Amino acid sequence: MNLSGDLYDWLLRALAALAALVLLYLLRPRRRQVEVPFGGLWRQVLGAAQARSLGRRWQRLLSFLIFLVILALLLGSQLHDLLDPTLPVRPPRRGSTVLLLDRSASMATRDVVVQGVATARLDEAKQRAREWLERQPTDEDVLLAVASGSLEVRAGWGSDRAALLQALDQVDASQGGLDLNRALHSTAQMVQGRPGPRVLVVSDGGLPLQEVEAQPVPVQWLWVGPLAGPSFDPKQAYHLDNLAVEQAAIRAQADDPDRGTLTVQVRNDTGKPVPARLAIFAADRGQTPAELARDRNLRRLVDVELPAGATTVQVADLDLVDARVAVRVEPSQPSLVDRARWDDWGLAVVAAQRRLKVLWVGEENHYLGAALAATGRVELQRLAPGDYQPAAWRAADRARHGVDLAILDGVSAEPPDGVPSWRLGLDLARDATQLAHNPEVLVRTADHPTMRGVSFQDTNFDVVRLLPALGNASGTGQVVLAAATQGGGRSAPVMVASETPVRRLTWGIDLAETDLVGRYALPILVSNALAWLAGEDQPLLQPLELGRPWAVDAPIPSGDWQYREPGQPPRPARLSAGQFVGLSEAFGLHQWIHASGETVVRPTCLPASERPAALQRQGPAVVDRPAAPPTETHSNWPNYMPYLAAALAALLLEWTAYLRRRTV
Amino acid sequence: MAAQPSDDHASPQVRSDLFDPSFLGRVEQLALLARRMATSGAQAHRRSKKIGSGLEFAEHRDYSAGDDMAQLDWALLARSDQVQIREYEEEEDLSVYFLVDHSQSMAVGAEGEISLLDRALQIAAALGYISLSNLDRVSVVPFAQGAGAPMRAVRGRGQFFAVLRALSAVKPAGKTDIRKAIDDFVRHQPRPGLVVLISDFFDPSGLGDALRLLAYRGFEPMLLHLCDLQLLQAGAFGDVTLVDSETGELCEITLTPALMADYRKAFEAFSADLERAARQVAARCLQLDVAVPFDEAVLKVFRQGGFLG
Repeated sequence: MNLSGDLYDWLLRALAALAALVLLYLLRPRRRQVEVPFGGLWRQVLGAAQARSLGRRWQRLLSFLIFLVILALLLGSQLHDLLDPTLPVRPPRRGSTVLLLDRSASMATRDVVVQGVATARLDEAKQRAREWLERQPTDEDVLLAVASGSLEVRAGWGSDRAALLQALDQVDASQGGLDLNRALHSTAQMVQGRPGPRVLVVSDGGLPLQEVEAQPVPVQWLWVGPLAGPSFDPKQAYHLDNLAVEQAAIRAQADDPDRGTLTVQVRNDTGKPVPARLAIFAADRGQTPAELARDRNLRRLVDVELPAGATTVQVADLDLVDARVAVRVEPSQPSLVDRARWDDWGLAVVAAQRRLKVLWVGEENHYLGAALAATGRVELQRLAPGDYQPAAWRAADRARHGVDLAILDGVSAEPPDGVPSWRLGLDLARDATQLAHNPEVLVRTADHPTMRGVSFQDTNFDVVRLLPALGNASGTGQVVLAAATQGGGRSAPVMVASETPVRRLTWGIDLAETDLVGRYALPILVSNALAWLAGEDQPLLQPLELGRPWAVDAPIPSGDWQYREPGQPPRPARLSAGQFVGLSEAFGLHQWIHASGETVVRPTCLPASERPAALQRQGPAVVDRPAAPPTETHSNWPNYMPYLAAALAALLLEWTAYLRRRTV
Repeated sequence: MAAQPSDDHASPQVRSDLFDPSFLGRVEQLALLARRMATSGAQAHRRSKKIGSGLEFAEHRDYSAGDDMAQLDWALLARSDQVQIREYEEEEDLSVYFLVDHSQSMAVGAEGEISLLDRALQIAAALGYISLSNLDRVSVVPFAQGAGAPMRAVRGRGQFFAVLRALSAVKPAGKTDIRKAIDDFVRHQPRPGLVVLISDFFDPSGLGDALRLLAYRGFEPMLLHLCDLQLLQAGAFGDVTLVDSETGELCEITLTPALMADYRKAFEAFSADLERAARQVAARCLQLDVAVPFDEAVLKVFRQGGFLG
């Protein structure tokens, strides 16, 4: 047998090292030997000396430290749940808890990364809820409720843990949104009157703190989603890697009603320009994106460069033969992860209704733009303030455009003659008397058409411009719509409507100085304002907000109406006072079909609280304890087991050291 | 196996290096000195505690059937109508047993100095001579892990060389097990007497049980604790390997003055424990340094140990 060269060299080196070790052993310094009559006495002396030695003292100190560690670990195992900031505080006594699990569409988003695998928020929420349940004492009474458009009890009071866990496993995501405030009110009623009541919300959404604190029972929060984590700070803005379609609208061409322009308002939350692609589908049938997004329905692919923020993309010369149009936005870059796929869709209905031609003079304001687009009936022409010249426009542009109304935002110039106008962002020196800081704004004339369904409750205004007090309002047809109240009870108009010579709205409100833009009141206000200025008797078309009650005017107030909810077979419609009433969480096109062939179609949009962009702006103010990122998907071990295992190891170490000390 | 008394004729010759003529002369002087001390009243002849038919009245006791009527105290009966028997101290020969430890630890000694064993033999010889002079019965019993073959008890000064021969035959060997040695001893020595234990008493199992056994069997123990205090004054410090003389166990230590001081304290505590064990059975315990000449040691035994008391 031949050894390879390397192996032979290594063997030689090992033998040399062994020989050196043997030599060193033989040459080691020899101790002098002293014969003693009784070694036991010496061992006793040595033992006592070692006991006093520094090493022995350190050993005793180490023993004490190990004891302290064991004690700390045992305490830690008992106090783990109390000390863990990511967990809700365990009630010290028997309590009743409603476990409210959010199952809205956003919970299906797979943006929670667990051990490198993208997991849906709902899966994470179920896991967090499962862990929470396993930590609860056996006498804790738990009710499991799931909420999306409606609230549903899956396991009632008195259910054992196995039933609760089984019900939890069966929860799946819906296609709708969630009105957290309404769900909290309902759950609070469920738990009120029971011992130790509280509500634990497992959700990716949030509510303003004051709304949570206003609940009659304590509310705790388990946050899930990409924002959850120890570093989460609700007060800071976050950029989500998300592209979203905020609105989609179709306008037919004046000369050819079968062709038109699709206006899509897209939001880019990545904070940087992103190349994206718009996929446009159209079909006569189909209500949901899944139904519309088929290859045969694909009409056009449009590559666009989306700047950060909201962008309006217009796709011209579309064939409008099909009544339903769906548009999907997706990133062109494969590296970009769209974290919220559920809001990539926009739906539009091709209606034969007249469009309102609106001249908008002012800087771009995507809130106002979105509110205008939400009406679905606006044909918008926007001019920069510098481009607007009333005299020249009056002579030429008016004839060409034939606008129905004008919006002047932050513009000192007069509106076009004879054109209903809406002025906001007033010039203090010219139009207003003074500024009012942080006033309370109250609706004064709630029955005015522009103020229907509008409330400024919980709406903050940093600054408003106070309008001159009205003299004899009856002669001019002027109405104070809203007034600002400051200290001392003094109030002054901030919103005024006048009828003569043409309808005019004047707002002493700048949209940049209020959070009204994030409120549902704004699109209602805009819709009401447009309808009133244009002389419409009814509000303009609005999309239905998912999960919120709605009422849609029925063209024929009675008769055989069938309601077709996305994804559901037709069923008799609910009519009340000439309106279709109800609530749905189905994302898509809702339609009511009369026996005579009359059809009403409404697209849906997500509530503001479900939009990531809205969450960024408002901030989930209620997250009392941000959740730690999950480190494992599932474990049957109680949380204190690692502590006990470590304590046992320390105990074994101390026992070994003790035995060693005994044998000295 | 039971140890049988050894035959004098089978004993080896007297060790001339240990029991030379000058030693014998000093022993004779010690005997004279001891006799003077006895007659001066400081010491007295040791008597048996046995009650019997001696000449000196000891005590009265109640008459019981079968008692010799000649022992009846007739005068007391006449005076007080009490029937009492007069008892007298019986004077008999005192048995003195010299139990000499010959374990390996007794052979350890400072270089150029006499070993503990040799000193023990010298002391046993001197005390044996004095006992023979008092007409006591003397026997020598070497012991280590057990009691060795005892010398047949002898009486009278003429038997001194028999004692010397028995002592000369003792060689260092074995470990110390005093409890077993005493067990063996009391099993074969039914006649109680004075037991002089000469040893370093380095026994891991202790001494208490052995002394209690002796006292229980009617023996009167006396402990002569031999030690070499020079070993406690080790001048060479540093890394040494201690070798247990009996077990051969090694123990590597760094000898420092502090450690030596600790050892001295431990030895003092050991000696104190020894004295405490002796006091528990009303025995005397004397510590004898091997560096002290044997005649001084013997006188110390006389003066402090009450050997002749």
